[in-house]
Amino acid sequence: MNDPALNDLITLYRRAAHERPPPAADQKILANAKKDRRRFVPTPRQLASAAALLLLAASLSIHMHASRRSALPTDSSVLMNDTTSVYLIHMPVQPSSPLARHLMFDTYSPH
Amino acid sequence: MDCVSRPPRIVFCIHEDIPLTFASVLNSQSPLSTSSSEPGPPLAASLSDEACMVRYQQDDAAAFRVLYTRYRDRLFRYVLRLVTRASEAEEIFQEAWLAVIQSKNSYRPSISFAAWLFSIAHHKAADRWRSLKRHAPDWQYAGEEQPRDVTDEYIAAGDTPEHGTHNDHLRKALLDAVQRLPLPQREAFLLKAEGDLSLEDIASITGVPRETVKSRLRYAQQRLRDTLRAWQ
Repeated sequence: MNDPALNDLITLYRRAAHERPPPAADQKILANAKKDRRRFVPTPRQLASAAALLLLAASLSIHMHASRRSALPTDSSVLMNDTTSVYLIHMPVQPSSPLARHLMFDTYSPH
Repeated sequence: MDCVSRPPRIVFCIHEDIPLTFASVLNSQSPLSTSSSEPGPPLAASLSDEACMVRYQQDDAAAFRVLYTRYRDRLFRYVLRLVTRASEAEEIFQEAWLAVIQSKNSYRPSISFAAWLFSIAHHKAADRWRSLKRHAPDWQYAGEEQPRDVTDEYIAAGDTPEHGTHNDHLRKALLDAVQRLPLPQREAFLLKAEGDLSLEDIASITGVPRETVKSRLRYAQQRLRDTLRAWQ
């Protein structure tokens, strides 16, 4: 729309209108613009990717949990390995100090 | 679209029966340039609005500053003449810019930045009307508005006494005439004058057909001319 009469009127208006916002508004808006740089704002694509990953992790976790429960205990999970057995066999069971010996004697000695 | 590159047109007479007093007003006021007082960084300042917005999406705060400098005064005047109170105008102005900051990633460069910005401000004003349970069109169409002096407290420092009382009165008459326009006409005029938007963009923002915008602008033009002629 190229209306010279309207354009002249608009020019007249532009030269008459001089209002400006208060400086406090400038400070607030520009400060927010800078602050927003440090804030992470996810895009819809990022949100969708994060949701998909979360769903995958949750389904994997559920799957692993379910398979662990349904599996029968194996021998290896019940029996001790060699290192543990050797340690238990060689573990000192006799009281080593006189006090311990005294206590053991008092506790367990047959009367 | 770009305020910085807006050509400073000198108009000596807007109508054959309007004497040179208008020309004196036109020539006595310095061209209104939103960016003259706060030039942005040279690189960003040479970019288009859309390119600046893309750079701001990439966290270039200087690009935002350029955009803000270009559109600050224009958006403020648009909002100031759209609402009833100056305090309301300030709030809507800030809300609109904060919305630009918060939704910067939703902006697409295929859209004119000015149209996007003024559309946000339009919706903020509409939200305000709704929240205040006002029905804006009826309120505005009633034609019972009194002239408001919402602009007086925002007169820029450039208005020096040497401009003279006559020019002040003339300017005030024009601004009052704009203020008295019914809202649809006023908004169409302001979107054209402050936003420098196309008819299509104005139609899109205000949600009416292009032909309706044309007719609103025509009515606004007629009313303003009548008012100024009567003032003479």
